[in-house]
Amino acid sequence: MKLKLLGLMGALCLSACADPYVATPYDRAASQVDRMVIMDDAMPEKAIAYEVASVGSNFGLIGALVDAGIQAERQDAVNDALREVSFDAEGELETLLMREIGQEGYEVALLPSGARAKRDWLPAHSGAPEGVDAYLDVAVIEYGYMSPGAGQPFRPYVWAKVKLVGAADGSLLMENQIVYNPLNVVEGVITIPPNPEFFFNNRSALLADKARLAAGIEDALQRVAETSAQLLR
Amino acid sequence: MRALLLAGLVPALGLAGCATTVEPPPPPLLAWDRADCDASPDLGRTVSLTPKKETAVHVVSTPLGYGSPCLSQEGGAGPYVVYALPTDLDDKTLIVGGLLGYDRIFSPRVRVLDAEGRETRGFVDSDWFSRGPVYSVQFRPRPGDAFVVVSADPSRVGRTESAINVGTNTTVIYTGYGASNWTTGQERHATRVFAYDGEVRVTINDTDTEEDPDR
Repeated sequence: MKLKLLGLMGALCLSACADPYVATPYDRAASQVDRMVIMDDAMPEKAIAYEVASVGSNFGLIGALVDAGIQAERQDAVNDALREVSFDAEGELETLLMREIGQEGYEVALLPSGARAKRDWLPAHSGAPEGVDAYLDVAVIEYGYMSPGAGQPFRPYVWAKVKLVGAADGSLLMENQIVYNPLNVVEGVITIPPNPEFFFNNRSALLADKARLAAGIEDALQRVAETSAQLLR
Repeated sequence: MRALLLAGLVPALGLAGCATTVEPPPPPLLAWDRADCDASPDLGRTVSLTPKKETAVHVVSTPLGYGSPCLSQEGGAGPYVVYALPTDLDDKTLIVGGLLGYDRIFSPRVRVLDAEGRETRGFVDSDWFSRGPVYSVQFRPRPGDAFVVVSADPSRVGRTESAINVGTNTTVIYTGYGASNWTTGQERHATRVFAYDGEVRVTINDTDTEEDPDR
């Protein structure tokens, strides 16, 4: 659990302290992409429901252990609530991406590629049908709800890595990171501020209206899909 | 008693003497009325984007405002700056735009010019994103590109952007037994207006710093 927490904290910081993040801008005219496939398994299995600077985390090892239990219990409750309203984050994002990218004039299809071994871009891209020009690899590293600390509301949060790879030669055509509601902004990363409409003051509020809970994530995924499509314009 | 009074007075006077008043920033500049503007970008007055030595990240910031050189252009006049691109363009990626300030963002328009001042690239609304703390476009210069002109875009001036920014803050608490950290979460609701003044920020990322800049 401790390891998991450390991972989460690191992820929320986007490991920004090391090398500067440099995205790869897309040059549509030079890339000549008309048909693309979207790689499968974009979303993590579970949504997060994380309070970053919780009270417990300020009380040393014992506090951290108690806090880990509280965080895990909240996460499970939120995921149970999302299941109760049949919220399918993976299907939702795929539908949004197909629609938004299709509106940019691309012919786009899904490519079933199985579960990712690691929550990141796939190490290699293959299996596209004849005539496909590029693979779009969207890897959502985390999504769900985040509160910056005790007494602060939970708001939707999504961290997505987006990459377009040439089908013929595996060349990198575009690469970006998009964070909806980032905890501190990171140089070079596209940031989307949260929609003020969706906020939940605490755990009880998160679980009080399950449809609204799902709607907040849907809204965030919509913005991420729009931004991904905008990057391919 | 007198000595005590004096002892009390001296630090009090000292404190009063050290106190400084911080001037509030001027309101965002939302109108432009100067008529002495250049008809075309002055390519003889440039800010260099070449670092003293090859580096992975090179940041150049330029504050622009009412006293800056101004440019007459389609849509209206406004302040501008011309940046000279490094001669070694390979492996460079640029982020160019207006810094998200406390209450304003310089309303940026970005154009890339060749050595003769001909426009080689412009950007449309959908190219703009908030990349970290900069409302910006991102591009890789192409062979022949020589200058980047950042001027005020009057069409955006006056538009406000509201954002919720979240973060954490750590305070060190000293007790009789030592010090400990206390971290709290924070939300800041910011409203910024696009203006004729603010800070232009250019970030040049170089993915290959081993190259010879004189090549």
